Amino acid sequence: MMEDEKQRLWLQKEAMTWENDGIINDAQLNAILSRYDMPKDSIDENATKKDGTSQTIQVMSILGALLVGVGAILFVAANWKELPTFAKLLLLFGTTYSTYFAGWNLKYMKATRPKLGESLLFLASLLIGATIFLNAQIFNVNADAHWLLLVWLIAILPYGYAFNSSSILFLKIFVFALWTIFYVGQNTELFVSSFGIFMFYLLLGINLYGLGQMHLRFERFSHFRELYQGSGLFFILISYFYFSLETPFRHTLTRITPLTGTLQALFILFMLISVIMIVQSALMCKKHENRKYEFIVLILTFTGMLAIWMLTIFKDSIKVSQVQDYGLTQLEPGIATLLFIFFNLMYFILTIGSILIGYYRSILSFVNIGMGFFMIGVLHLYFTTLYRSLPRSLAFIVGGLILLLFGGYMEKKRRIIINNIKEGDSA
Amino acid sequence: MNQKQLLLLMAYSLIVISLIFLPKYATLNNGKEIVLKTEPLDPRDVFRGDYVILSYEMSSLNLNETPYDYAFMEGELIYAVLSEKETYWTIDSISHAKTAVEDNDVCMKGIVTRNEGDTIMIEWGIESYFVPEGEGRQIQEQIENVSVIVSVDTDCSAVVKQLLLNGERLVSNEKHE
Repeated sequence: MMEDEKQRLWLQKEAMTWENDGIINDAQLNAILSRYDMPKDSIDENATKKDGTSQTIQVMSILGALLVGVGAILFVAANWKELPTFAKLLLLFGTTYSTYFAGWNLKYMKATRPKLGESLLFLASLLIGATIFLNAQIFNVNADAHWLLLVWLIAILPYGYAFNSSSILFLKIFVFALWTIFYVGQNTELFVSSFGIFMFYLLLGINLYGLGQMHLRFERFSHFRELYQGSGLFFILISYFYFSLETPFRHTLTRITPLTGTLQALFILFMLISVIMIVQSALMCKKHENRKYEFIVLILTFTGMLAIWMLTIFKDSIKVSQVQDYGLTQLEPGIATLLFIFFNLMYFILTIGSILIGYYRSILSFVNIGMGFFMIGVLHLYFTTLYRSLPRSLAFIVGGLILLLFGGYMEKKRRIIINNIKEGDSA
Repeated sequence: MNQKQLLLLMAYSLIVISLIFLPKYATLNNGKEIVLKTEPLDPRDVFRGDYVILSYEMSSLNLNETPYDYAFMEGELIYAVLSEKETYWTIDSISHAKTAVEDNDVCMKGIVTRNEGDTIMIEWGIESYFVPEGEGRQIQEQIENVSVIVSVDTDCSAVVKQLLLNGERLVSNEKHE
């Protein structure tokens, strides 16, 4: 029996190495392991349990890589003039590609320290960004040029999949989100452009979530599903949180300017992709009953998005007639209140939707995202409603009590859901 | 993943970066040099961190004084024909498409960032100049006397080459050869 267990462990380890080396793909790995009654999920779990420190090592390595990467970018930004341009370029390109090589060597070639290798590959992808910004500095490219971020994204586009790296994929999503801010807000002040940015983020959220669902069709990359869907939910909820505030409708909506031609084209492209993702989700929903919450969340998000879009088109007809303070026009107060109620309702429905998806799909991070945004929403409602009607000292006490009691209640609920998920998994 | 695949991936990102910056390198080294006059900005906005924000006379154009083909919209590409006047180069005409220029003239392309009726604001891609840390304030204090040497290629792309203070080279910028 003991021998059997040893052999199984050996096979587990070997099979995982073969997959890492690209000798076999994920489907073949599953086939081999299930032949010996070892589904891959349980192996991942066993492996994680066996190596209790591996998660910590991974997190520390990634953090270390992040710090080195940020340091490199800041070093470049410090505009070191002692070195000639050629030496700067050589140094940066050399560092970047030797880091890639070292990461590849540790993760694939020697396969002795895959987690450190993964971190080095992530660091190298950060250094690609530093290289681009240094080049931009050398050629005095305008400092707020949004397209530099796009170049960074394109330069690392294939690396996430090629190196099978979630951290690089996350970096790509982050860079793209950052580019959206710079691109949408390039000609206006951030306060005004925030409305457009979050409209894009709503669509980005739907598209990322749908992209995650698409990964289920490709066994080899199915483990990236959670990253895409989690990021998608985050963008959906953070955008709805923005639209659940009073300021965007009372002060920003009336000041936004029409989108330029290229921005309009990009917006329509995002919309079309969103429609495709929703249709795909509907098709999945037909096949699997437990996917209905995902479809509901996506369709609700999109409906809200259409409502916001309509508001931007017909904003002139819901403005107050007289000019307000500072020469700014505002929305009719009644309409602003109605929008506040509608988008808060939508926001809370979607946070609950996120928790339900996490529960039914046994994905803890979705439950955490949903719970986190639910809490933020409650706090926001407190400060925009009850807080104003109470004396300040009492308002703080009540706010603190709400935080403590509601936080405790939510944490208890969260633990129940997590336990249910774990019990479901083990069953 | 094998070594060949790794090398292909590295080559890919190298090509992407080169495709973006090699043309700028070519412009800097082979383009025609012109001198543009800068305009002072609000001092609070002139210097941000380690680069100087440059504004030019041609950053804002009065359409009543500049010949153009038809109205410009925000976000549109704009092409300008410049010729050398007494000291500085200034715009003769603007259009939506690249037009033929005489041997002594140059063309530059930019993006219309704002349209205020008779006046349009343009970004020419030469509004930043990176300086070593701590040297920005010196430029900020004398910005009214600053002009800029810009290298312009036949594709109408421009790259800032040097800053001049009262016609003298102000901040060293390494050679790109």
